[in-house]
Amino acid sequence: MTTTRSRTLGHKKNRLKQRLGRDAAWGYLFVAPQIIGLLAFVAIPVVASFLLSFARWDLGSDPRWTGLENYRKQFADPVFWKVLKNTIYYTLGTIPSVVLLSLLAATGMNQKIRLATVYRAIYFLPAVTSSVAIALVWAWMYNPDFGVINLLLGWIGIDGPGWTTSLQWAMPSVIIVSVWGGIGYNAIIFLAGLKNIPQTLYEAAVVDGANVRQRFWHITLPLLTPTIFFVLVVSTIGSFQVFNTIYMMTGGGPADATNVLVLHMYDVGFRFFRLGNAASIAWTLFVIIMLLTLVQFRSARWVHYE
Amino acid sequence: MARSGRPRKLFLRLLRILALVLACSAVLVPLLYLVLNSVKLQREMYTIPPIIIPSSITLEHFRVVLGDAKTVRYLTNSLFVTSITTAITVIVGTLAAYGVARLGLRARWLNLIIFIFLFIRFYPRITTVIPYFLVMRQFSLLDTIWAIIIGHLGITIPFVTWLMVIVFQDLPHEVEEAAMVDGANPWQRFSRVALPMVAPGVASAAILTAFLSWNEFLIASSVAKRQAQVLSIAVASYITDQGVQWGPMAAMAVVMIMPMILFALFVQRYLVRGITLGAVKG
Repeated sequence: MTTTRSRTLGHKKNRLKQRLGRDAAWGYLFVAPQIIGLLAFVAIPVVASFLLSFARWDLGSDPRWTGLENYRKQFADPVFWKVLKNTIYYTLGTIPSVVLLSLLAATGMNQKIRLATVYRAIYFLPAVTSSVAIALVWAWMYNPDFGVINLLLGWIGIDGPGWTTSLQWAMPSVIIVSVWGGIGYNAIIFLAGLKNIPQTLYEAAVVDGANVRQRFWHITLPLLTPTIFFVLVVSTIGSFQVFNTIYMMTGGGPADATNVLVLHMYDVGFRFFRLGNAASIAWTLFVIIMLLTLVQFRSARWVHYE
Repeated sequence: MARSGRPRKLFLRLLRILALVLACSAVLVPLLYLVLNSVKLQREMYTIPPIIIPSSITLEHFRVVLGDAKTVRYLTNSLFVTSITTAITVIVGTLAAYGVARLGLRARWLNLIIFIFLFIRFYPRITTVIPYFLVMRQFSLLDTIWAIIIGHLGITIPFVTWLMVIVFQDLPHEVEEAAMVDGANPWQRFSRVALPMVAPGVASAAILTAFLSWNEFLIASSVAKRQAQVLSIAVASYITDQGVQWGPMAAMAVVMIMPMILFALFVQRYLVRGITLGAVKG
């Protein structure tokens, strides 16, 4: 009985394969609109920016081939290094806090509490709110004269700093906003990761006498590593591309204290119309992000896949 | 033991609730502040020390903002960009995903296509803003709604394709195989069998796309800053050389974010599913 069944199944599988071969033509048809669209509107800009990074162009005259000149100039420019350092500062300031706080929020939401969906909806709000509006309202709250933050700090006896206008505090101000905006989104991801851990593991651990802390360190954390890894990779990629928040809050100032790679690229390209220079910054950023992603994947030995 | 454990447990419970409430208010306060300022009197706007709770509510800023014919245009532009982007993204992305996930492409081509999808999905798109601007200039599409839409599509289509590939892969093969045995061609299998089964996944993809397109700023501001403005540019435009006009800005921001917040609450389940797809297996 079983043998005949498996034989017919095998036979069926062969026929299936033949049918699938004939379906491939349909498959290409299904994929075609996307490939054509992407080639026209994504591949062309990508290739154009690559070529442009070896040329000088201000939109006016024809572009002039200058070889590695843009890259040489860029690496000799102290502003570029400052901007790169700021981007790293921003990333290191944002990501650990976002990961820790969103993990904490997710653990909180994972408890059997009333109104769990209400909490989840609230955490969610920053993720669905325009980052432009968020940046503007925070800039206002930070205002040393009219802002609410220094008023509140004053109530508990702290003389607040100048926030976005202060050389030391401008970057932390921006980081706080990004952390605030990032927690909800990542907490949702962590919550899904937590819910994915089989309950039976915890039950078995309880039978074996493991306490809360042991259960967290030996079950929750190891099984959550793929999720943590995902969040780390995606946030690093995102963090190196930060633009809206900083453009809106500080415009990169004061004195380039919050200027980051994408903002610098935007200024060079759209304010000074040095398109070749902007393209070389873009490609440097691309290489940095690719390298970082590669390093993260390479060093992912701490990630446990089941 | 049980008796001494109970107050401790209650205490921990209270502590946890307190932490949750604190965290929630940290999230809510800036948003409330924005709403409060959109109804604050102009003369209470720039006081030292600042006035947090307005002494009376004024709808003046909303009257100014909504009374302006331009605002209506921003709104319709945003609605148009978001709906066209979402519609095209879902159609093109779902089709391609089904082709990749189900229609037995030759391994060599399949790998190439997957590589292209992956590359574009993770390529820092922000770095192509300037060449994209040039391409749009070449096509005389600058300062048109289409420049924004096509720019958004470049981000949303790869994203949605990736999402839908995962959705289709999670779908059991049996039903489509049965349809195949009954002689259904790939298009029928896709449209009549698979698509209805992944409808929630499609909804998630569409909703995420809509949020992204509605809130997007960089592309919109780089290719259509002067005309064909959308709401995100309109909000930012209240930053002028003379300073920020907080009242109208806050009102415009509320006009922009309120529909989306209500929408998000309404479709929360799909939104959560969309965000976690691909991040967490299963």
